Amino acid sequence: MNPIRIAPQKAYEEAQKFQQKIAAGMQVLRTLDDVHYGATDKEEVYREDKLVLYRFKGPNKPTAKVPILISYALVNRPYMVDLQDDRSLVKNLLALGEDVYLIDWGYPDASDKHLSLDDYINGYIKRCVDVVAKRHKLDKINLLGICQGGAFSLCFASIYPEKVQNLITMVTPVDFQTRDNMLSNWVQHLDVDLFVDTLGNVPADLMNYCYLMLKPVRLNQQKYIGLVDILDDKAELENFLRMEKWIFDSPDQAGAAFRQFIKDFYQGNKLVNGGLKIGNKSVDLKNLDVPVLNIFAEQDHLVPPDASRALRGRTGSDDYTEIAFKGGHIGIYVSGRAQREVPAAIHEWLAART
Amino acid sequence: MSENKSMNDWLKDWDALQRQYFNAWSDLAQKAPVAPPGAAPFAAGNPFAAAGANPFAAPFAAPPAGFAGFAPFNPFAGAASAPSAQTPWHEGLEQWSRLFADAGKQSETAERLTDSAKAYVAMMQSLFGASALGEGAANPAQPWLDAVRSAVGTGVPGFDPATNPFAKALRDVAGKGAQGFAELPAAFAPYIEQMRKEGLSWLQMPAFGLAREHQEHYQRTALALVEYQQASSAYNRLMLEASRRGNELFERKLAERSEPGRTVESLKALYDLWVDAMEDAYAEIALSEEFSRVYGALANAQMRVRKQIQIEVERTSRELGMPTRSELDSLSKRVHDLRRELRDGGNVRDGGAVEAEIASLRGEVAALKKSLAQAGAKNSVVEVKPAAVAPVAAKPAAPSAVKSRPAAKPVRRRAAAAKSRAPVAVVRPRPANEATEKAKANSFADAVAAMQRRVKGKPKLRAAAAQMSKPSKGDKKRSKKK
Repeated sequence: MNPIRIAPQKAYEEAQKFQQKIAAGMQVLRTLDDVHYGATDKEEVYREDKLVLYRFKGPNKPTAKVPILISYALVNRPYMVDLQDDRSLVKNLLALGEDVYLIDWGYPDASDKHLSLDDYINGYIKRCVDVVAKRHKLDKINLLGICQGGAFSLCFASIYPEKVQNLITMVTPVDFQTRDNMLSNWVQHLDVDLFVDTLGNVPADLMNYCYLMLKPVRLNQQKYIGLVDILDDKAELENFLRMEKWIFDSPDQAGAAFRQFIKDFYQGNKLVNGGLKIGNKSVDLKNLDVPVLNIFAEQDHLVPPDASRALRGRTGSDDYTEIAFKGGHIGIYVSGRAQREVPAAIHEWLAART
Repeated sequence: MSENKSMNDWLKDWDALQRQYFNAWSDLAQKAPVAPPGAAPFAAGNPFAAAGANPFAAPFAAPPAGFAGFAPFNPFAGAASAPSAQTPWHEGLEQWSRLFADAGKQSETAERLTDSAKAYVAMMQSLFGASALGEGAANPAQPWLDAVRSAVGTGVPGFDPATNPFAKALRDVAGKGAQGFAELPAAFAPYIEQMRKEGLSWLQMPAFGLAREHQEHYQRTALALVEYQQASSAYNRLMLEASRRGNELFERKLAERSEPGRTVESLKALYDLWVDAMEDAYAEIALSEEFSRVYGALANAQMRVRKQIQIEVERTSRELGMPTRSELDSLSKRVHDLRRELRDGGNVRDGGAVEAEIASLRGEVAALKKSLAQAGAKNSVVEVKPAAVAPVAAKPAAPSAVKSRPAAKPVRRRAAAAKSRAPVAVVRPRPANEATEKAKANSFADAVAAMQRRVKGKPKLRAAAAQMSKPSKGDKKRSKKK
């Protein structure tokens, strides 16, 4: 039997519809101005170098006694957690009574190329944690690490368990060498010393090309053909463009931090194999004895689920919870399902541990 | 009725539809104002703002032959130039894309959209032609497969050696201001030509004379460039392999759709199936050990070439008296180290040695207190509970519960605090004649007195002692509490 049954008339109509859509949509596209992001008011509470620590302001006073500090990845901008009014992890957490802080790492430039993981983890994160704890007259606070920021949070909580009340990791790689980890496969034979010595900071464009090459046809072509379907819908088109802006609005990576991250995490897999040192502090996940909530995405093409699941049994905590989210690396923040499920899950888990 | 049209008529309609759109794009391109960079697009005077001015409204106002909703077809009406017979759609979209290039704002998205749309329309066009051939053929899917292959060729995003995105990414980065990567082969053409004639060994020949350093540098650069080209070829070979494998998988996926109820019934569904096949094939290759090595080799090879260029740029900059990257790196490293040192209270450069020193001094103080306590116990005067000796603890030693003569208290605290402040020169209260003084030094005040005798007439030791006599912040707090 012929697997393809496309009648000429149907093909013609399909082409006609595609052309109509693209014609009408181009008009809408031309009339759109720059898209904006960020749905929630926030205040700056601490600043250091290019880092800014924000506290989000909800409509009501937080009911949670212990605030949450979000540590995002270095490779993208953190406004993904508060992208727009109806797609905001932060907004939903605030609505549930949580008190939310966020570290914005800024855009490193050439003067920051020597920033190491020691600076980021034992320096920036530690000082931000101290600032938040001091503001709330607490010894320890809740830490929420996302993606690479989750790996940093694991390191931090292992080094300073006395400063962390509860640890939440989202789409966080722990085992960096699972078989389905494409990024990991690509850097195993990379001479990262030569790479960083030559480039200094690692350019954002190069990082973006690598991400696009994880699924080259889908991300470079199919996505834009799908865009035609929503071209005539201004609101949907703005959503698309906002996401597009986030994807390509990437900071350069500080050379020294990138060097160590590739060597120790991707090539050495030291979170799993041991032997990881951040500055002069050893990282042993067994030191991490605080409650842990590990949320990962089942269709994550950047951090495969198995890379996150590897956390189970590796910490010293006897209170470990795992949540598998039905979605991808980005969908876990912006999908409709994420809005319903993720903030509620975090809030309930924290509430049970207060 | 439209259902009764021959395949040939459908193909004519298809062609007409494309030309119609080309005309519309062309018309739009001619009328559209070119927005100055940074200007808000489409404000007053926008000819397309009014709904009635939409150039796409007209073509769909009346039906083309046999179709409701289309205008009578006039392939060349209003066209600025005749479209290519093969790709009128492409050219129309190109015109639109050029408009966006000046519009700012969403031009990148529009560019990606038009690129993708062109590829998609090309595929649709091929498939439309294939639909005429499928019926009655021995393998009815074969014309479709051939059509997909001919439509995309090697132009699969990310698969095309000519647009190898990794190479493009690396070409584009950090090359601004320096010699462009694309220009390199021309610059090194003589060396590469020589290499071709004589083999790589020429590039490894020893250099002599005044220009030997320069010659060696150029030899190394040419060699690096050759290695890069080889690595690039290896990468492109794998991408072609991924493309070939993608077609295999596409055939397989199509075969799976032969069952009733699973057949492909739209161009979009066929395209999506093809994308799935290409992605699966790519993932197979990209997750392989071979790809890991080839990819690493490509990145490393290009970095070596870049490094060689940087050396050359650096040399030229020095000769022109301009600051070089090495100098800036060196400065930024110093600034970074100073910044860290400042934040960490001067405890960076020695890698925590000061912390260790303080801990050691605290241990000594605790031991001293213990010995004093023991001596006091003998005399039933001083009762000291020794502080816990913290090995490398940053926290201050636990305050001792001390019952002693009142006069001795502040002196003891000051001395202990002073010890913790003195990083290197530790002055111990050592009597001139230890054998005789040992028995006498049964209080901290006696020890301090002995020290004072020792430093008399010795300015350096005296300065150290003066430093020690200053109360620390901790002493002040404790004094206040008391």
